[in-house]
Amino acid sequence: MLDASLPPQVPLRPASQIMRLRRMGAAFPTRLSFMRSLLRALSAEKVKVTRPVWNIDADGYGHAVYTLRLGGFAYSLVAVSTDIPEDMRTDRVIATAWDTAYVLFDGVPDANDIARIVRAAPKQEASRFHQTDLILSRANKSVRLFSHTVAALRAGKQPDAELVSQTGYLMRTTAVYGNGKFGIADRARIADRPHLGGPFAAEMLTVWLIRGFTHDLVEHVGGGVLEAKTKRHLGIGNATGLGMAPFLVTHPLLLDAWMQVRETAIARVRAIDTLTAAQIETIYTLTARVARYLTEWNVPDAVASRRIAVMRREWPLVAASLTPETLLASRPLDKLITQSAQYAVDTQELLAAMLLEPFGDLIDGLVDCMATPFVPQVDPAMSCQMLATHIAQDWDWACKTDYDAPDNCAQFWYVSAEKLEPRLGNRHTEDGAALESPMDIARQVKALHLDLGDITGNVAQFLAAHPQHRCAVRRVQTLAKHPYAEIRDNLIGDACLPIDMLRCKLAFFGAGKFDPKSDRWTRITLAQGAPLFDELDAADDWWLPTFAE
Amino acid sequence: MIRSHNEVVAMAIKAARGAGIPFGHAEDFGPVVAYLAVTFPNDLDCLQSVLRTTYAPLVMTQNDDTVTINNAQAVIAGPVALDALRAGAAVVQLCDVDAPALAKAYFNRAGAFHCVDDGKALRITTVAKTETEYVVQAIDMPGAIWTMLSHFAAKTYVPASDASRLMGAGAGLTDND
Repeated sequence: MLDASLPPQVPLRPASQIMRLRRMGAAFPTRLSFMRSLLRALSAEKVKVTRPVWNIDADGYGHAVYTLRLGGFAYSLVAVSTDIPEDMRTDRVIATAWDTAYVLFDGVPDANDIARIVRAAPKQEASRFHQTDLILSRANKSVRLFSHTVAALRAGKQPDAELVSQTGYLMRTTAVYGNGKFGIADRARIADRPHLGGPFAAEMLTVWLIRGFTHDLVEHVGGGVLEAKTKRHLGIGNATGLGMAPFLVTHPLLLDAWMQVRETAIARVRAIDTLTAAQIETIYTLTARVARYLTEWNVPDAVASRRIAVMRREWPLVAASLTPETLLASRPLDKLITQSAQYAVDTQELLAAMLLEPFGDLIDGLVDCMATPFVPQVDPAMSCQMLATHIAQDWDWACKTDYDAPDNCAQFWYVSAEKLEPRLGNRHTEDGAALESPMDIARQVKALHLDLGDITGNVAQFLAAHPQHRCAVRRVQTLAKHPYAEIRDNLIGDACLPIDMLRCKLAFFGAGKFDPKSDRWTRITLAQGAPLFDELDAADDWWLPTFAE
Repeated sequence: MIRSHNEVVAMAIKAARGAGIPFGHAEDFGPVVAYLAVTFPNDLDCLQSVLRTTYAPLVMTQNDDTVTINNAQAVIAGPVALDALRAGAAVVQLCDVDAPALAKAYFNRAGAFHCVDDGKALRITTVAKTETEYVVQAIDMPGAIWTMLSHFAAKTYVPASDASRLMGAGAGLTDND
C-alpha cells in the first residue's frame, strides 16, 4: 500500500542514464551533499566551537585543539602544524611529511591524549592510533595563497581578491581517513550517534574544523584579521586521486542509497505543480549566481576548460528559458529538466542540482536514507533461470562487450607495493596485470553469463560448482534490487576515466570548483562559502558560492 | 596489537585474494576472520594452513534434503554450505574439513544454524535465528597472525617502478604551488 504521507514524485531518471561514467562525472554538489547536511545539523543544534588549546609559535608551528558538542557528544580536532622542506610537499599518498596533520578525537582530549596525537599524527600511516581517534587527516598549504595572505595581513591589508577567488583555500587535505584505518575507531562506534551517523559525516566535520584552523593559523602568522567575506570564501581544498574511485565499486548499496536519494529529490521537485512567487524569485537569484560561479571557475586542464566553456555558453540559454510563463505554468520544473536534454550533460546536471535548492522542506529529510548498514548478500535460492533473466535485463551493456579486444581491457587497477598507493596501469605495456584488483565487474558478469548458459537448478548449486562466480552473482542479484548500485560502464576499458568516479563521489561530499590535474587526479574545494565557526546561525544558502556576492 | 575491526576484515580479504581464493569467497572470508578473532582468537592459528592450501573445486552430493561436501576446504565449503541451507537443504555435512574452527565460525556468525562436530564431520542444521552478542569492535590481533595475513596480502601488490610512480596515479611528485 502506498504511503499517503509521501510527497508526489515523477518516475526517477533511469539508472541506464544516470549510472554512466560521463554523467556521474558531471555531478554537482546539492543541498543533500554531506557537508551541507552536516552544517544544517550544526546550525540546528546551535553548536559552539571553542579553542581550548592554542600552542602555535610565531611562525605557525605547534598544535591547537578545537572542541564542540553535537547530539550530546563532545568532539575535538587536534591540529598539528609542522615545518617541512619544500621537496617533501606532495599531495600523493607516497608522501611522508605534511604541513599539518589532524585527528578528530572522540571527546575532550587530556594532556596525555594531546601529547600522543601530536607525536603520532604527523607520521600519519606510519603511526598507530587509538579507538578514541575517529578521523585521521593531513593538509598541505596552498603555498602561494598562504604566503600571500600572510604577507598581506602583515602589511595591514587583505589578500588580493583575485588570488582568493582563483585558489579558494589556504590548505588542501590529501587524505581524510575514517572507519578504522591505522587503528582509529571503526565507523560502528559513531554510526548510531545523532548527526554523525550519516555517510562521511565525521569526515566532513573534521574538514570543516580544519578549514577554521587554516583561517586562525594564517591570521596568527600574519598578525591581522581577515574580513569575514574573505574568510567565508576560503574553503578547504582537497587533492584526490585513484584511491577514492574503488569505493564506489566496493560499496554498491551505499552508492545506490546516495543516488536513490538524489534522484528521488529530483523526482519530487519535478512533480511540483505550481511554484510560489518566493520560489520563483529564489530560482532567478540562483540562476544569476550560477552564471557568476561559472565565470569564477577557471582551471588549467584543457578538457575541463572546454566543458566549463560549454556551460558558460549554454547557461544564458537556460536562463532565458526561465520565463514567467514557464515558471508559472503547471509542473514547470519537470518541463525545464525535460527540455534540458538539448544541452550538454554538464549543463543538465547543473540545472538539476540548482532546482533542488529552493525545496529543502520537500527533500532535506531524504538525507536520513543515505546511510545503510547492509552489505550485498547472495540469494542462493534464486533459480539460475531468474539469475539469467536479471543479467539479460540489467547487464546487456556488459555482456555485449568483447573483453579480449585490446581497447576493452586496456587498463588494469592495482595497488602499488609502494605505500599501498592505488594506481592504474596499461595492460598492454606494463607489468602487474596478473595482480589486478577486481574492478572488472562487467567482465566478471559476462564470464558468469557465459558459464550460466541454460543451466537449471538454483544459485546455490551453481555456485558450488563455480565458486569463481560468487562475486559476479552477488553483483547481479544486488543490482536487481538496487538499480543505482552499479556503474554501468567497463572500468577496464580505455574509455574509462577515473576522474568521473572521483567527481561523482566528491560532489556527494559537497565539493565544488573541480580542478582536474589529469584523468585520474583532481583538486576540489569543500566548505567554500560555508558558515564560519561563529556563523552557524546563518541561513543555509551557500550552494555554489561566488566571491562577488 | 590492537587492530580495528575494519582493518582485520580488509586484511583478511586481501590475504585470501593473495592466496588465490576466488574474490567472492574472499569477501565472505574477511568478516568471518574478524568474528573468529573476537570469539575464538586461539583458533586463528588455523588460517595459516587454510591460506597455504591450494584451492580445489569441492565435491558435493545431495540426497533428498541432505547435502554432503567431502574434503571440505572451509574457505570454500563454508559459504557453499550456508548457501545450501538457505536454499532449503535440511542438513549439510562437511567431511574431512581442513579447518573446523573456521568452518564453524561461518555458521556461528550467521546466527541461524546449529553445528555439531563429531570429530570426523560437521553436521549443520537450520535453527531459529538468535540475537548474537557479537558486535563490531577493535580486535587484539596476534602479531604472528597479522604478519602471516600481511604476507599473503602482499602477493596482491604490484612492485613500484619509475613509470608507475610517475604515471600510475596520474599526479606529479611535488605540489609546491
